[in-house]
Amino acid sequence: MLITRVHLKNWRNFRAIDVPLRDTTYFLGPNASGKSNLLDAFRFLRDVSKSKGGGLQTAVADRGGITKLRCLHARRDPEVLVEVELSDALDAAQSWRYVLGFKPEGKGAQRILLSREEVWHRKRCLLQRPNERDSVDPIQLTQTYLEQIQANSDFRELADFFGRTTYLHLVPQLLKYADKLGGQRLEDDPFGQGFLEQIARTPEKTRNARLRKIEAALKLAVPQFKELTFDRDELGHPHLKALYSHHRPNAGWQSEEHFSDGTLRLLGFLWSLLSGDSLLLLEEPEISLNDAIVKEIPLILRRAQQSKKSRRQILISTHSEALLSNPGIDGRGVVVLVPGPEGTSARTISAEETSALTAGLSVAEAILPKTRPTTVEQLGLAL
Amino acid sequence: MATEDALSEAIGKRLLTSHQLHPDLLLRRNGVGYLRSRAQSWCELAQVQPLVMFADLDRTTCAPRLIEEWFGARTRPGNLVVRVAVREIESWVLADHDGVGQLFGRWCLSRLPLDPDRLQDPKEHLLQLAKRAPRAIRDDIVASLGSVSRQAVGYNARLGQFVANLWSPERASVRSDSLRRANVRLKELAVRLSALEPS
Repeated sequence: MLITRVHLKNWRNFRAIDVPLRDTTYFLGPNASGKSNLLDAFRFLRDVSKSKGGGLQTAVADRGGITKLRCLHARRDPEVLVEVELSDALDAAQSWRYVLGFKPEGKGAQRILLSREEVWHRKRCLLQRPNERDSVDPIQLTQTYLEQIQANSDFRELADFFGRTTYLHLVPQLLKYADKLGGQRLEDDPFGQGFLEQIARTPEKTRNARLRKIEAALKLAVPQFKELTFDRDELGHPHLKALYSHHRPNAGWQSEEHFSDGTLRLLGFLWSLLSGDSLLLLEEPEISLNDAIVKEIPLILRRAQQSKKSRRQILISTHSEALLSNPGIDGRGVVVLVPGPEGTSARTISAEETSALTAGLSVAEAILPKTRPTTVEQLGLAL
Repeated sequence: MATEDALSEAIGKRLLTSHQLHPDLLLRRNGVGYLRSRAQSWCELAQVQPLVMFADLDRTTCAPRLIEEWFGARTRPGNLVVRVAVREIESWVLADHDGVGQLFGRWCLSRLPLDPDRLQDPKEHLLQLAKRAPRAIRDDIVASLGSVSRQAVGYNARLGQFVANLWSPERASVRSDSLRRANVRLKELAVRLSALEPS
């Protein structure tokens, strides 16, 4: 299953956007254009659909409350809306549509109340709220049916799909200095502080199979890299260890705190590609990596998708010229974010850009230059 | 060695190593514009060290014309070897029938061009052939149906691997005259350079 369209209203810095998505979609835009905010809409749906430790109220609260969440450009209409359409396969007919609208109560405890929740399956309406039960008992509007096992049995498949969304934006320093920084961690560990525990929790056979694949990739990408292994220390803490061929034969293994940032980022990236077959969100996968490696990312993604039974959807935010320089990137999977005085708008590629790509130009050549701020040339003169 | 894209670089490396030449600097920034815009730098660089350049002829009528357009009235040092693939580097790939037959399957032998230098659009020819290659290879090279792109994301990786492992410059030189002449010039360069090396 994959998301084929996303419509957001008053979501963070988007007043209104409505764009189609492909099985691999690249979100392009300058800094602060809202690439992460867009990916966050899918994490939000994941957080809402969790029956445990999730739900609408928590998902909004975790984002700093509705005042932080709602677009500053929202005018009279205070409703925040997230709507997605899904299909069983690429270019297949729509199978699901989920609409979630909410706004603050406007009085008292200022709880978040649903203004709209709709579920459509094959164009048939399975749920439309507010419904009669909501009018009898308005407090029900504080919860979505999506998050309630008792209420979502007709569309459990949808809740499961959202719930399995993967997001890992591994911050190497958080992993390397985990002990010194202390234990505070966010729900779902988006920044990879608990990456080692995640590896440890994976069944041994699966873990070894994945680590062998990652080892093979790291051997190609990291000079002198020879072997990767998983281990526990005397206290039972999990560690990744690597052997480099330039070290003396008995120099021993290096554990993850000595890995380079790039090696750790690549490791996290490959691990998240190999784990699961659900929607995968990748935030600037190019960070800390050499351009030569970054250039291979589009092919790595496609290969990872093909190796699974069901082709998983991957949404990527990037502004990497190297990553987008592959002329094989399908222009239909490109969404350009354009910041403006009324918030950021989003668009698919234009007819002119389409012909440039069909003629063999890359996204880096044809589209990326348009995402540069027009005044950036003067940045160097600013101080 | 200066080239305009990843595939040209793979071919260039393969050609140079076949003459025991091992390039140190691999100069490339996507596209022909870079090669053209740096004409002055190439001339200066070649005063100090040998420089081999591979370019596609594309729509230009002939190689001397292209070189004139790029370098104008500049004197080109003897150690600046500019070789032009007619019309694109893909024609050099297609010129090795045995090699391409191993990659795409023997069925394609009868469809490979006898004189690839005469193809107007060698890349398109290669893409059309690749459509009937075994699936894994096809998926890497050919854009999927409806895709807004000319090729698939594994085009350079797959063909680069082919050039490094299966492609034979000797076999390909038999069919592509522009490649044959490139080989002659590279051999001359190799002989000239080895004569300079202290024995």
